This record gives sequence, C-alpha cells and structure tokens, in this order.
Amino acid sequence: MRDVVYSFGTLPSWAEVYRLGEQPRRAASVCRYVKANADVNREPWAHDEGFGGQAEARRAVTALYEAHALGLIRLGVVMLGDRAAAEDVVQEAFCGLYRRWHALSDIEKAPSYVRSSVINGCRSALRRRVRQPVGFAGDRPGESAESVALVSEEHRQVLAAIRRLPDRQREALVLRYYLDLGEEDIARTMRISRGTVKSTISRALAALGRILGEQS
Amino acid sequence: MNTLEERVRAATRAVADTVPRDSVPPLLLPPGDPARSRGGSRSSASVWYRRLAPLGAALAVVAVAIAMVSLGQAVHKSAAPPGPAPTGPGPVQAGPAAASYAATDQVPPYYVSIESHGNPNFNPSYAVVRSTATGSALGTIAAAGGGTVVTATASPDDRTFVLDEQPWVPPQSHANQSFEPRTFILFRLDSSGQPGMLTRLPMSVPSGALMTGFALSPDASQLAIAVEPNDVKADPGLQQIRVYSLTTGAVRIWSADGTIGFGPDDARSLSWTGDERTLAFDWTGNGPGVHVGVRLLDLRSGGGALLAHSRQAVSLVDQGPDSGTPAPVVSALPATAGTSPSTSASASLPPSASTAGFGQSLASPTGFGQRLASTAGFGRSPGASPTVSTSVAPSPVPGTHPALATSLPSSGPIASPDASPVAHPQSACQQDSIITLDGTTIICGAIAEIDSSVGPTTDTGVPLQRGAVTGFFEFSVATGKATRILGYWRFGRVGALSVDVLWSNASGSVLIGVIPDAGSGRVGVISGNEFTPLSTSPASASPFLNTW
Repeated sequence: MRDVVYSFGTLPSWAEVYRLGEQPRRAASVCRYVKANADVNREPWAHDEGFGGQAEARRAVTALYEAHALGLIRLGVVMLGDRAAAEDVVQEAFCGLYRRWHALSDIEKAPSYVRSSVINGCRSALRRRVRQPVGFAGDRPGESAESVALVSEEHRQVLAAIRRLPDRQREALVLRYYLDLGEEDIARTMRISRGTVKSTISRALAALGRILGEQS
Repeated sequence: MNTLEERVRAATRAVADTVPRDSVPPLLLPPGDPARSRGGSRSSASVWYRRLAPLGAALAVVAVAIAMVSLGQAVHKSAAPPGPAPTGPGPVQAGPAAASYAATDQVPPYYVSIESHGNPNFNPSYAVVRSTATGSALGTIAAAGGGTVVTATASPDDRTFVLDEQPWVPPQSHANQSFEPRTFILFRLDSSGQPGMLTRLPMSVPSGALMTGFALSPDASQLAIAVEPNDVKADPGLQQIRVYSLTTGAVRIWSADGTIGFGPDDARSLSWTGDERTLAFDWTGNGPGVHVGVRLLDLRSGGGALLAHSRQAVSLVDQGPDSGTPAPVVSALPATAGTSPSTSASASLPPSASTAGFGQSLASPTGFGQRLASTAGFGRSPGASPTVSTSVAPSPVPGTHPALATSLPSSGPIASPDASPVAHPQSACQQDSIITLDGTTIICGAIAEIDSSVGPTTDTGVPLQRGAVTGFFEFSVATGKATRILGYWRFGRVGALSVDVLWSNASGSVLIGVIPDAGSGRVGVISGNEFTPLSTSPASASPFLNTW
C-alpha cells in the first residue's frame, strides 16, 4: 500500500482510496489477477463477480477504514454518547462491507453504504440498551463520552434531548448539523425524499425545542 | 441560523471531539473469505471482535476531516409567497378573563398538568389536576414505584384522563428514557374535579419501542397509540397505529413505513372525531416522493395497511419551487383573522387572487365526521363560539394583559415578510395538527422567526431572542385548503419559537394553545385575535404538557 497522507480538509475520493490497494477494478482484470496468483486462485469462486478476491477485499476495506474510521466513530459517539459502543458499531459496519464486498456493484456506493450501516447500527444499539448502574468511575470501559468532563452541562442537555427524538428525526438532525450533509446526501443516506428530509429536520428542531424548553 | 441549530452543532461537535485522532482501534476483519462470512450474525461478529481487539491498541490513520461531504444547502429556504400577501399580523389583543370562558362553558373547567421538582430532564414528573379558571391544584398523581408520568390524554367530557407512565431513568444512565416500557393509568374526575380511583389499563408498550402518539377516544372506550415497534433489524421504518378497546383489551393495528408525530410522547399527534370513525394523524412517509401531512384513518376497518385505510387531508410540506411539488395548496387567505371565509374572502382579496378553497361548505366533508360532536359532552357545541374580532387591521389595545407586556411586538415593519407563516402555512405548521370533533377542520399552530438580530446574544454572538409571527391555521378537511387563521400575531421579542394548539372546541372557533413569550411559551385561550392567558404551574415541565 502506498503511504499517502492527507492534510486536514483534503478528502480522498472513495475511488482514490480504493486504488490505494492498487487493485484492478474490473472483473476481467480480476480474472487476470487470479491467474497470476496461484495462492489466491485456490478460491476461484470468490472471483466470479465484484471487485476481486479475499486479499484485495481486505486491503480495500482496510484502506477505507483507515481513511474514514475516525469520522465514523465520532458520528457514532454523537449518536450514542458511548465510545466503546460507537467503535463496535463502526467495526460491524466495516465487517458488513467486507462481507458484501463481492456483491458491491459500484465502488462509489461504498461510502453511503458504510455510513448508512453506521446509522442503522446506532439505531439498533440505542434500542438494545438496558439500564446501567449509575455512579461508576470515569475509567470504566463504556464510559459515556459526555461524562468525562470534556462536555459542558449545556451540551449534555442538548445531546440527551437529541437522543430522545424518534430515530429518523435524530438521524436527520445529526446528519445535517453534525456532518453538515446537504439534503441530497441526507436523503440518500436515509433513503427518503428531499422533501421529507426538510420536513423531518424541521420537525426534529421543533421537538428538540420542546424537550429542551429552550433553556438558553 | 437560530439558537437551537447552533446548540445542536456545538453539542454534537463537542462530544465528537472527545475522540482523539490517534485513538482509532485497528479494523479486525474476520478470518477467511468475505463471501463465506456473509450471513454471519451481528452478535457473533461482535463477540469475535471483542475477543480479538487488544485493549489500547492504536493505528495511525489517515487524517481526514470529520465532515465527509461538503456543506450542503440550507434546509430552510425562503421562497416567494404563493399568493397575495394578506394584511400583516397584529399585536396580541387581550381577551376576556379566563373565568368567564370557564363560566360560560366555552372551555373545559379542568386540565392535567405534567410537573416536576426541578428540571424535568433530570427529575421524574407527576400529574396535577388543575382548574382552568384559576390554575389551582385539585389533585396530584405520582407514578407508581418511583416512575415518571410522561404525558396525558383527555376525553372531550373533560372528566376522563389517561396518563402514560414509565420507569424513571436517572440522567447518569446510558439508557434512553423514551425507550423505556410504558403503562397507562386511567382516572375520572368527580363533580368537584377531584381525581377518583386509578385504574391500570391492560395494554402497555414494551421496552425498546417508541411511542409518538397517544389519544383517548371521545367516549373514553378506546385508546389510540402510535408506536415504532422495536424491530429495527427487520423493518426499521415501521410505524403502527394501535387502537385498543378499554373494555375488552382487543387491539386493531395499522402499519406503514414512516413516522407519526413530532417526537416522543407527543399526545396530540393523534386526534379523534366525535363519531369515533376517524383518527387524524401527523404523518411523514418514507421512500420516494413527498408524503408529509395530516392523514385521516378510517377506523371502520379492522386494521391492516395504514396508508390504504387512510387519506391525506392536508399536505404539510414546503411548497416552494425547490421542493419538486406542484402548485401551492394555499393560494390565498382571508386577511381578517377570526372571521369566517364566506364573509371575509370576497371582501379582502384582490380581484386577481385565487379564491380556491374559500366559500366552501365546512359542514359537508365526504365520508368523515358525519355525526357532530354535540352529544360528546362538555363545551363541544358548535353554537358555543364566542364573539370574534373582525377588525381588518388589528390595533394595539390599551388594556393588553400585563403578562404579555414583554412579548408585545415592537414598532416597525416585519424584517422578513416572506418568513410569515401566512406565506407558507403548510411548511410553517411544525407542531401538532388536531382535527375538530365535528370532523370538518384540521388546526395547527404555525410560527416563523422574523428577526434574529434583536436582543441579547451569547458569547459567540448567537441571538437568544428574536421576533416571530404566529398563526393558528384551520384547514378544511373536505378541500385541504386553509380557511381561517386565528392568533395572527406579531411578536417583537420572543425566547423559544413556541406555538401549538392544545385543545379546540367542536368547530375550531375557540382554541387553547401555546404562544411565544420571553421564555418557553405561554398557555391561553385563543379566540379570533384575542388571547387570554391561563394560569399554569411554575413547576410545569413544559407549556406543551398541559392537557384539556
């Protein structure tokens, strides 16, 4: 793998990230690759479709992870308030991408796929939660990200209110105001129309105002 | 950009920044071929990951910005008004005393307030029965076992209430209060307003499900709830309306892919007509197309597909040119607040204005609400409407209630006329919409920020106050068009952008609602352009959590 360092604010395209693995993208090229590599050729069925074999998939998914894990873990922390749970969700999302690598018809769809996976994973995690004992020490695994004194009381209130919103309102709000996604990207990530994105965000803000009582 | 949006940005980024750049754990893919890993369960993958993940391991990662996609366009866009601009909003006019409304049976005599000791986000809540006329407490109901009372719903007889209870989640916990299980408590008030015996109802909402709607039927024999079931893996967008018989426990379920209501515990996202044939619900659909509005569920069906058994009565979506939707639903509004369409539209609209939606009969909806609600009990007689203001250009009233002094509008023109909810009432209706008992009218509260440059700001320059325009819009169930506006007011200084309709009489001529003030909002009676503040408790968890 090439050693590529991106400066802050310079985002690699997903195709560019994929090419970090220096792997061919077309099925025909994959076949040539397989013929030239006997060790990979032991599993010929793995190369019938998609973007190549096991080693290639591992390299490509790992490259994607290295480029985007930080942002996605932070997204998970915003949604869940729990670092360990967020890391779990992101790991699961990339494992899912790896499992589906052969079925991926378009490499450009990888970003929205993995981001949607993280969003859905956070949704499931929120609902799986059981009440936990309170008053624990600060160094416990699973520590709430908000309870490490890095987040103010005002922020804790807002975050608690965001997590009380219905799934779609919470997700639309985070995508809009945390990730700064535009309507089109939010619509694609959430698989809803642009009109619904607008309305959902507007409703989410109204609900949030209610929950908070806007105690500025 | 208003304060709330900035607060969301600041809070989410603050918690995101607790993850240092150099602390990302390595990706640990399952051994073997990815194709053979297909179908592996989440749980097994999770166990596998946890087993292998070395604590404290770190991997140098490519530095990327947290924002993966560049800033998109603003959500709220101002578009040209679809119709002629009506006469501008006026100041709040003081109405008659609250006691006079109660004494003449124009509003219900009792209400239930959800209250708490301290910040309701950090303390459990309880219910208090109060007098509408005086605000005095008549009885208090706390949740069993240290739980919390979340919200309430009332039948139109103003004697029967149902409370929604949950186990209380301490704020230090990781658990989400909204996903706690729910049980329901029914009680009736005696002739003096005292709550009687509490009855725990047989239905419940399990842990992990989210309730976003809650409404007791007019005869108090059925309870309708809107639920997102806890099946996020199988069907993450599933939304259900469940209607339970309180006598037999039988339930009918309608399902669709979308969202009902404006948030958790939103009691008024569901509302019944007096004949109990129709349940109105605030709907946001999923999938392609624009499906946001108020739909009417035909309760004569035994359950099934929610959309197939309901019809959209009012579209609540931005009708601007970028929305990809056809012509605006509302082409014009009567310029006179509080007057009936048949008397105001022809006189106030210019000749070129479209009059679509005006002069329509409000008494002949098709297939809905045929039996009027005059038999439903207290205060629902259509003939009970009070005198409404008919002044075309509202002017300040010297006797304006002192309590409203801080929220009276400032002089001068509206800073941004396009922000008026009249320009886009549908998109401005961002709170509950309720149907009147007679089934003819859907009412929503609308608010638009008009000037965010006034008043004090935070350290970072975010305005804490702004101006606002409100309107309580009434839409014809038969046509979907706006037919009347009450409470068309302009406020020079407000805190929260609070507006909501909490109760309506049978015809929609008298409302109880929330309007903005310097804080989080004020509750009162709305009739025409008159507002009568009602006494609410300082311990009230929110002005929206008062139930008539």
